[in-house]
Amino acid sequence: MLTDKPTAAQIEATVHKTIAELLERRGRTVGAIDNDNLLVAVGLTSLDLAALIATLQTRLKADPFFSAKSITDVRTVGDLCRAYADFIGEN
Amino acid sequence: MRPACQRVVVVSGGSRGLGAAIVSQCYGQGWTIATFSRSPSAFITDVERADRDGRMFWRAVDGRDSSALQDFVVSVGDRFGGIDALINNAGIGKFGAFPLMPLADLDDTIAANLRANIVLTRLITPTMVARGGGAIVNISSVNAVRGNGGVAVYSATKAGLDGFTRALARELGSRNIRVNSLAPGYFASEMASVLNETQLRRIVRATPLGRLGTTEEIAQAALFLISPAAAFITGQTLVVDGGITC
Repeated sequence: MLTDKPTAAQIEATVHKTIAELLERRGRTVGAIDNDNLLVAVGLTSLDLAALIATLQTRLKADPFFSAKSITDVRTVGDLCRAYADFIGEN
Repeated sequence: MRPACQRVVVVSGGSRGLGAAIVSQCYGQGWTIATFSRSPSAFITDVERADRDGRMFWRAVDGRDSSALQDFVVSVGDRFGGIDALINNAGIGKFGAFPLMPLADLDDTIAANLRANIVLTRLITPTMVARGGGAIVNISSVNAVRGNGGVAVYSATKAGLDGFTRALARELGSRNIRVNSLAPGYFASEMASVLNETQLRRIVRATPLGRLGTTEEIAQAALFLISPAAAFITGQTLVVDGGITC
């Protein structure tokens, strides 16, 4: 768990790690997670995204999608990392 | 499912009436309780005082304040590590002739009975999905399934919750999250206290079991719906009304 405001690099590492863990738990093959990957192509369903956001809420102490941003605006892993970085930067 | 002592239930509006009875029974069954209400009550003070093992968590929250609800859910997650069950109990009753109902009462009823419960559920379901399961109970009403005068907006909010229940049960069933409604009939409560003697007698006459329910009987049904005994029940409205709607 991060105690201070995380840097963009820390956010990215946390997002990538959390996606990999989630996919592993769902029994899916996990290759390298890249910011250009489409979330759908990585294998995340909408309910997987809900689980991902819940875990990131715990790890990053932030949920940009409750009031600030729509998850439908997020298409790639990089979009997701930026959504957290922007939200954490603004709050 | 984890042992009851490690299971966490969020009960909205747990300071009095049915909410307090639900908190009391869940606590007695070993659940860890997280609850909120706009203000504390003697019941909350008593439970907190008697709580020796940190299984009771109460905060002052107005459910119509989404940001306060979010802070509450985050606090529960930080304190207990997750949420296994949610009982959407908080609600208000503003009754009277619909053509004369003030807009403020209409808005308050929808905000407290429908929107606040939906927002709380929105905040809690991600953690249930992440943890691989959960149980949600929406406290509805027989007024959602039978028409009665003077309760049109209240009935609309409760029927709205029933629709929410069925849709969510479909959406979240694959993740082992069960969603049910509990529709109490007339029971001794603050809301029933607005009924006069004549109305109460008429209700009792129309009830096959010949009496009002008790708060404890309704709370027991809520506890059943979040228990492993209800593991194959989802998307349903359980009517507990002494038979008045049969």
